[in-house]
Amino acid sequence: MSVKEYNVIIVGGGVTGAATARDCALRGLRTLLVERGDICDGASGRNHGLLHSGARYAVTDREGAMECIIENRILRKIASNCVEQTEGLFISLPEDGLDYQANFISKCREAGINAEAMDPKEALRLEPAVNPSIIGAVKVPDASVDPFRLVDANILDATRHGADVLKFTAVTSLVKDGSRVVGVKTSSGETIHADMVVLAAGIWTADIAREAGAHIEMMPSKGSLIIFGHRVANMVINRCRKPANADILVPGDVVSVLGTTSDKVPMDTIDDMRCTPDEADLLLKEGIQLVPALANTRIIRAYAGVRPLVVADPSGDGRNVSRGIVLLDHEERDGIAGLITITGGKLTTARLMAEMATDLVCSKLGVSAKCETAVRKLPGSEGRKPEYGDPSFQKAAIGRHGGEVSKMNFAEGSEVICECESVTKAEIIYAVENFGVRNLPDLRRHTRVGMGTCQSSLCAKKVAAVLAEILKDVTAEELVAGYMNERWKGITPVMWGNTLREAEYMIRANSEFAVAGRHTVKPEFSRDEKLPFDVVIIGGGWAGCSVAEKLSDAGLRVCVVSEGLSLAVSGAEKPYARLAALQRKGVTVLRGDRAVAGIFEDGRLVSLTTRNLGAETPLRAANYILASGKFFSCGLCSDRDHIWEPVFGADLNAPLVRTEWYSPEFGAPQPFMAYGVLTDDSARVMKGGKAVANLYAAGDIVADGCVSLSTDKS
Amino acid sequence: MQEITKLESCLKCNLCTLACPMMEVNPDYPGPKKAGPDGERYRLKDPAFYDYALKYCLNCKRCEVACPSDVHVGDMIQLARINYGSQGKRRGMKGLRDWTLASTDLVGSLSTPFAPIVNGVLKTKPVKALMHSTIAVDKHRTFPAYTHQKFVKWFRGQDQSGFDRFVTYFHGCYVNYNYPELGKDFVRIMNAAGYGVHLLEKEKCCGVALMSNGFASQARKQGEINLASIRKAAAAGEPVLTTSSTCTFTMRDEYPHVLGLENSDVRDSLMLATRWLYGKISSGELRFKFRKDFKMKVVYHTSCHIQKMGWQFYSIELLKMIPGVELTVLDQNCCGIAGTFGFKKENYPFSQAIGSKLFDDILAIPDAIVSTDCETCKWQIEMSTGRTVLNPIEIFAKALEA
Repeated sequence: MSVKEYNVIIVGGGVTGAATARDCALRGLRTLLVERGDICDGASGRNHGLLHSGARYAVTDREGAMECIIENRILRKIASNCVEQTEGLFISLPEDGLDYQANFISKCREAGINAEAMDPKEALRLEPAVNPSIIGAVKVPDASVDPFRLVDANILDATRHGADVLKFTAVTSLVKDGSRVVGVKTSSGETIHADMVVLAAGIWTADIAREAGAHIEMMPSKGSLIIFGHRVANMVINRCRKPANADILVPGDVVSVLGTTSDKVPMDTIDDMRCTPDEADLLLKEGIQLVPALANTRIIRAYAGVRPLVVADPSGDGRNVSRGIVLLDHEERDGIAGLITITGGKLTTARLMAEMATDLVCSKLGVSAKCETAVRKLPGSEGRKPEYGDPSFQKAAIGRHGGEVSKMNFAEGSEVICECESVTKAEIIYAVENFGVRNLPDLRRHTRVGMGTCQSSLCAKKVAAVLAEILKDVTAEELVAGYMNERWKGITPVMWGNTLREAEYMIRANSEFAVAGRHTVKPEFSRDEKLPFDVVIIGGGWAGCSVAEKLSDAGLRVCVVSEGLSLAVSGAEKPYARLAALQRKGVTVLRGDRAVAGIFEDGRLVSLTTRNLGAETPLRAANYILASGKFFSCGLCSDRDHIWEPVFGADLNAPLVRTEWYSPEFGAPQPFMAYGVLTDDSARVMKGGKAVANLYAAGDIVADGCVSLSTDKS
Repeated sequence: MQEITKLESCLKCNLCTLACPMMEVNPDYPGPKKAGPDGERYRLKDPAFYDYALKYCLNCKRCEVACPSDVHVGDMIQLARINYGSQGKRRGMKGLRDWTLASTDLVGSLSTPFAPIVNGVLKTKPVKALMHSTIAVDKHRTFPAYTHQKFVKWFRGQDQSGFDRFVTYFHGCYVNYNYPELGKDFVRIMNAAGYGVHLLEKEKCCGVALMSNGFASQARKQGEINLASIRKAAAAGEPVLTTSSTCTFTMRDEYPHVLGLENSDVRDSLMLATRWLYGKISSGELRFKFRKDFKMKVVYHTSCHIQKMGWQFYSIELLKMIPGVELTVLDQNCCGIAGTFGFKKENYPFSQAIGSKLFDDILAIPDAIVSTDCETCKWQIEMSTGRTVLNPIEIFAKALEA
C-alpha cells in the first residue's frame, strides 16, 4: 500500500476537473487528477458541443449569460483547434412572434453579447438550411467546441507542467483525519495524501461528498441528443423563444447534433443513460421546424447525458434549477476542511469554474500565484487550420489537433484506418502515447474513430488490429468484443431507413451471422418459347447468381436484374466475377439496374419494369424469382414505423413497432435479420394473403421459417 | 446537393471502391468512397479538405453501378471538382491544353477545312513529340482523323421531304467533324424504315469534356442551347436519337445531376438509336430485310457510360437480331481513355494500364470486329489493339438489304 503526497487531488476527468488540474499545475501546485474511466465519462462526453454565446440565457440569467460570452471569447483564443467559429442564429418562426426577439436582443446587449438582428432573407442566404418560413433572425457569436479535444488539451498542459493523471482509477473513499480530508483511497488499493481534495465529479460528486459527511443535494437532469450524418447547417441554429426541448442544432466537426431534452431521472440510473426511441422521435419532430432537411437526413446515433444540477429548490424539470456555478467550501459549509466541490455550470464556463476552484485552493494553501489560464494557449492551439495544399491524409488530424500534429509520425503511419473520419495510424499512435488509450471506446474519444456514418461497421476489425499491435497486451478480438455493443447502444433508438441498413452491414461484417436452417425446395421451371425469357431473377447476389447458374445450365433463358455488387463479394473474389461468368453463358445480366414494379393479371406476374429499361421495355417471363436480399440490398425498406417490400408489396412477417425490430445487445439474435417475405410451401411469394402463381423467392429475402428456392449446386 | 447525390445513403460498404478501375492502377487515387461520400462530409465543413487527387477520377460511373444504396458517387466527385476544385485548376500550358481538348466545336470547325493537312501533321513524330513536351499531350496517342466534309454539310444535300414521319438526330462532334460515315448509316437506316431525319435547330457539343476539364459554365451554356433545341423537336413529336452513348448519358443524366440543368420534360424523348430501333422492331412496328450473304464476327464492348444507363441491352439485342452476326459479349471493363483524360501525358500510363484487360480480351478473339457505342472507346481500342471498331448502327446498316 503506497502513499503519495500532493498539494491537490482533483477527482473527475471531465472538462471541469481537467481545467482545474491545468490551472493548479500552471500555478505550481503538485497536482494529481484521478478519473474512474478514460475522460469525459459524464456530462462532458455527452453534451451538445456548444460554446454558448450566452444569448440563450440572456433573458432569464444575465449573470450566467455574461459568464458565457466572456468564456466564449477566451476559448476562441486559447483553444483554437477545439473551437469552430461557426457563429449562430436565433430564428423566429411565425408561431413564435417577434416580441420575444425584441426583448431577447436588448437583454443580449445588456449582457455584452453582440446580437445582430437580420433580415430573414439575408439569414437564409447566410444559412440556406434554415426553415424558409422564418419571420426573424438574430446573429450571435455561438460556436461549436469539441469537449474531448478540450479535455485532452487541458490534461496535456497540466501534465506538461508537472501534474500526474491517474485514469481508470476510481476514488472509493475520502481519507479523513478527524474532520479534515487528507486524501483519497482508490480502487487500485492506493492511499494518496493531499493538502486539498477538489471534487469535480459531476453528478457523482454527491455520493463521494456524502460519505465524508458533506451533504449536497443534486438533481440528475437527463438530456438526450441525436446526431445526423453530415453538416446540414454550418451555423448553430437556435429557436428564438423561451428555452424548450430540441431547439438547438449544432454543427460538430462533420456531423450535426440536435438537442436537447430535460427530464428528471432517478439517481440510480445515472450510469446507464440511453436516449429512448420516443425521445429520438420527439427531437426529430422539433428539429424539423428549425431545419426542414432534417426530416430526410440520416440519423447515425442517439445518446443521453446527465447534467449535474445542484438543487436550490427541489421541484420542476431542471430547466430553472441553478445551472450556475456552484463552488462549495466544505470547511465553511460543513466543517470539513481540506475539501471543496466545484460543480454545476456549463461546458462553456469550465475554465472559469476551474479558476474559481483553484483560487479557493490557493487561498487555503497560502499560494499567491495568479491564474493565467485565460491568456495562455492550450497545446494544439498554436497550430493552424488545414490548408488545401496539405497532404490529404493529414488534413483531418490538423483540423482536430492543430499544432500537436507535429508530434505525429505520418511518414510511418499515413495509412487511413477509420475512413469515415480520416483517422490515420499516426494519429492512433499519438493518442496511445499521450492519453493512455486501452481500448476502442477510449481511442474514439481521443481521435474520432467510430464517430462517423458507419459507426465502425467498416473499420472495427482494422482498428482493433492496429490497436492490438500497438498495445501488445491485448488481442484484436478482445478489443472488438465490447466495442460493437457500445456502438450498437447508440444506434438502436434511431434504427430505421439507412441506419437500419447500416446495422445489417454492421452485423454481417462484424459477427458470425448465419441463417438458421431455411427450408428449401428445388426450382423446376420449363421453357416457354412464346416469351422472351423463361425466368427473370431480381437480385444478383449469392442466391440470385446460384439459381441463375442452375437454371442456365438446365437450358433455360435467364435474365438477372442486379442492382449493385453483392455484399457476398469476398476479398479474394473479383467483383462481378459471378455475373460476368453468367453473361458469358448467355444469361442476360442487367447490371446496376433495379426492379421497380410488376404488373399482375389473374394472380400471375406478367411483366416487370426496371429503372433503366423503363416502362417501354418491360421484362416478360414465364416465371420470376425475387432474390433481393434484406435491408442492406434494399430487398426490404423501412422508415420510422414500418417495413415493406418495395417491388411488389409482398406480405412480410415484420411487426409495426420499431422497438421490436432489434435486440439491445449487439451479440444477441436480431429480430430484423429474420424478417422477409412470406412464401407458401413451393416458395411462392404471398401477396395480399394469396400466393402469386409464378413469383418465387430465394435467399435472404425469405422470412425465417418460410420456404425458399434452393441455391444448392445439386 | 445532398438530396441529389444521396450522400446520406452511403453505408461505407466499399463496394464502389472494389469497382473502381483507377484504384487498381494508381495508389495516389483515394477511390470513389473517400473521394465521394467520405470527402464530402469534410468538404462541407471546410473547402480546404478538397483533395487534388480527385482529378484522377475517370467519371466512368462504375462506382454508381456497383452501389447498393443508389448513392451518386461519381456525380459527387464531379460536383466537388466543379465546386471546390478550382484551386487546383490547371494554369499555363496544361490549362491551354485542357481548354483545347475540351473545345471540340471550335477545334473541329477550325480543323475540318484543312483536314488533310491537319491529319497528316498530327500523325508525324516530331509534332507529337512537340505536343508531348509543350502542352503535355502524350506522344503515343493517335488522334481521330478530321473529315474534309462535315456531316451537317453532307446532310444539307439529303432530301428528306418525301417522308411523313420524322426523327431528330443529335449527331455529336465525332460524327460531324471526324466520322460522318456513322451519321450517313443512321440516316440510311431511318429512311429505309420510312422515317425522315431532321437535325436539331441548333446543336452544340454536349459538353462532357468541358465539364471534366473544369469549364462548367461553358458546358451549361451549351447544354441550355441543346435543351432548347431538343424541346422544340419533342414538341413536334419527334424523338431525339443519338449514336453516341456518352453524349446521350451526358444530356440525360449529367445535365441535371452535375450542371443543374432541368431536363425532366424532355429526358424521355432523348435516347440512343439502338434503343429506339429495338423498341420498334420488338413491337412489330418495323421490319427490316437483311442481306443473306452478310457475315460478321463481332465482339461487343460495353462502354462504361452505356452500362450506367443500362442500355447495352438494346445494342446487344439489336446485334443479335442480325442474321449472320456471330456475337460475343465481352466482360465489362473500362477501356481507360475516359475522353480527354487519356490524351494527357500525366494520365496516359494509367489509361493504358486500366484498358489492358479489355485489350487482352479483344486480342484473344481472332478475326473479330469490335463493336461499341462510344467513340472514345473506339479510338482507344483501335489504337491499342489495331482492331477495326464499328458502332452497332454501322453494322446494322451494312447488313441491311440495299
